[in-house]
Amino acid sequence: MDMDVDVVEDVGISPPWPLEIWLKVLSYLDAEDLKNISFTSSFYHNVAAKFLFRDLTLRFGRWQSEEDRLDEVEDEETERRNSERSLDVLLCLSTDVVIAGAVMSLTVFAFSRIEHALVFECHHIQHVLPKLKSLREFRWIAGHPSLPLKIAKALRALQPGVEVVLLNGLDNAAAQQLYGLDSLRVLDFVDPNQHSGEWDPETSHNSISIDAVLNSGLKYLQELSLSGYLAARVNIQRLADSLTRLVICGAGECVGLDIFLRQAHSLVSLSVVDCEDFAFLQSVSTSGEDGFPLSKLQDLKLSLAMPLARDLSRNYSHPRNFLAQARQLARFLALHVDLRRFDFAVEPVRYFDQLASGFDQFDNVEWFGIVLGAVRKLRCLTALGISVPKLPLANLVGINDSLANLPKTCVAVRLTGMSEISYFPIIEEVLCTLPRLSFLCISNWRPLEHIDDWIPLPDVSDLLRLLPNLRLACHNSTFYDVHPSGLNNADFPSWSDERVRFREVKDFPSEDAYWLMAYRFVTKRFFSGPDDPGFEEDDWDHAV
Amino acid sequence: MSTTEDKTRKVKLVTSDNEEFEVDWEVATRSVLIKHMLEDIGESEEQAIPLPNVTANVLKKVLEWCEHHRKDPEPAPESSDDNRKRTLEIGDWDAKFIQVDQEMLFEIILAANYLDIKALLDVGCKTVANMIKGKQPEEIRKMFNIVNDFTPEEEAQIKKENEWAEDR
Repeated sequence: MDMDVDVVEDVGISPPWPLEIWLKVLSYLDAEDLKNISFTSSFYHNVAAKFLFRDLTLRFGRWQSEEDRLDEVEDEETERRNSERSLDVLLCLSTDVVIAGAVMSLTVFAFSRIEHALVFECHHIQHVLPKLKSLREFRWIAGHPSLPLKIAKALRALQPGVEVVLLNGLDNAAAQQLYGLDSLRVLDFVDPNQHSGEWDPETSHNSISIDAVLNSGLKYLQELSLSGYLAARVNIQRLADSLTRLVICGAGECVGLDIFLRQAHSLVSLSVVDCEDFAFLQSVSTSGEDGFPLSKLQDLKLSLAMPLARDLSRNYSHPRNFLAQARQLARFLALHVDLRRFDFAVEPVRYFDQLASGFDQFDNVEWFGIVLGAVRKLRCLTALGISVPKLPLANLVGINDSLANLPKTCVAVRLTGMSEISYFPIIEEVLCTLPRLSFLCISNWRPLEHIDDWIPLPDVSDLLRLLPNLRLACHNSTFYDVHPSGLNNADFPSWSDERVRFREVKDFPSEDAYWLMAYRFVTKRFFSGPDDPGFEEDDWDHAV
Repeated sequence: MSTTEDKTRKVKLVTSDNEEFEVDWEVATRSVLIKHMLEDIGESEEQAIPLPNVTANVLKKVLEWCEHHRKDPEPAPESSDDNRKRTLEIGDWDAKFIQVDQEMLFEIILAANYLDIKALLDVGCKTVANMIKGKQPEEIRKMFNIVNDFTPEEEAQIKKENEWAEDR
């Protein structure tokens, strides 16, 4: 057989292929190459459009971070640019059937400060919706309640077959509009990836319609995210058999969650953010008559709401018992040693009240040791997140031993809170042994805590030198794309604020990495150390 | 269902230009199309399978690939998650195998598609994607003999659209 034929030359042969093969070829190209091929002819333009415009994101106004809310920062330029682009896109979608037909997922960030400023854009979206013939996913992420009723109405009238809907801040009246969206596979009342930070607007206190919608026979519904307030008031038991993902933000006391979990035989992914305790895990921490509870669970994200010093000193009505929580968690993890992703955090419910944490009043050595002991036994992890509380130095040093022998399958690690000890030993002795590690998030602050002796973080070139497969590093909430070619250049470009805030799964080296970063700490307004221009001793004293 | 008997069984394939190939069952059934046809015919028959869309020189090349990959495990079902970044990497043997002229490459891809050999189709499509990668529109036109049918107005419009496709 002649194997010595020369490699492809520019001989200019038209490939005799059907469309399906071109679709496959183009599926391997990134945006830049897709754009180049879309310029060649109308046929290729139409094929490339299916990829270039499949997932479309519009931004109205400007993402307002918590610091903006406090400081009233004005950034009219960004706001103008975002709005102009978004209106251009809407105009194009209403006239160009090829591009409109390519859109399968539309995400709208509606962060304008003034609600009535969005009326115009909202009108356009209603106009465009019926033209999106392939639309499957629609997400409306608002910084505060912004016209969800109109949007929900338009969705029901114009896209009744939509499968994925995110409408955060939906009130009771708007929720009624979701009747009839029988194809729903994913329904998010809060943003499961927390792009809006703490800005998920509060849902209406009246939950009757939402309860009715959830119990109206959504036979395809598999994924649900909602606030703790709603979760405690609506009946999700009927969905227990079919839900594969459940996210509860602002979980609080988690009333009724234990009953749900006992029957959640299909659940693969569970996130409970800002819960007060892990009592809900008790009912699923022993094998019962009906077998192994939550036997399909793979992803578990738990964040305990951090106690505030103020609340503790006032005989807070819900005194924390971290030791009991840790034991509960350990019992649960012992039953689920095959978890793929595990993220444990202790997070303040609100960062921005400038309050002091009362976290150091607990016996962190004992309870955190139990948590680490349980984590060590998770043998299949690909993503691991741990927030380290304030510990005496001797115990901090011992963290290496506790984390030694992490499964070699880990590709993403988030390790935060080590302020008084260097990250170097843990990277050199533990993380270096993970051959697939492509994402590392480290941080040397603990929110709401006053820390005297900060040890600086390893810089990004250090990380790359020690972890050759690293692709993305998050360093105290700043993201750096890491390229091996940058080894000789300590100056790694960091992500823009916009990119951080509108982060998408494609920005991350793996879904595991993205999963770890569905977190609110992308915001920067808290004491990130004495180098932080926002750090003033006076603030702290005032807060305490 | 494959049995031990299948492993020793021979399969006859007839190309569009009437050439007959006799290959091991295990090699032929890398093609899902052939596998299904064999299942339909039943094991007792010794019938030759006609492949009217494939010429002998292309089939020879395709069978060379199938022979090398005869022990590969069944491919995993297509992931529904399209967001995942797709890798353009090709194994060493496959990379050498696919070093053919452009016409043959296109024919192999077409045959892999018709015969339903997913892994070979992947190798071919990745090779073409690699050829497109980093090329300017005019270079791509030349490579695939594409005629530019845009008006200047349309070109301006596409330029604008493409600007916001990935804008951030």
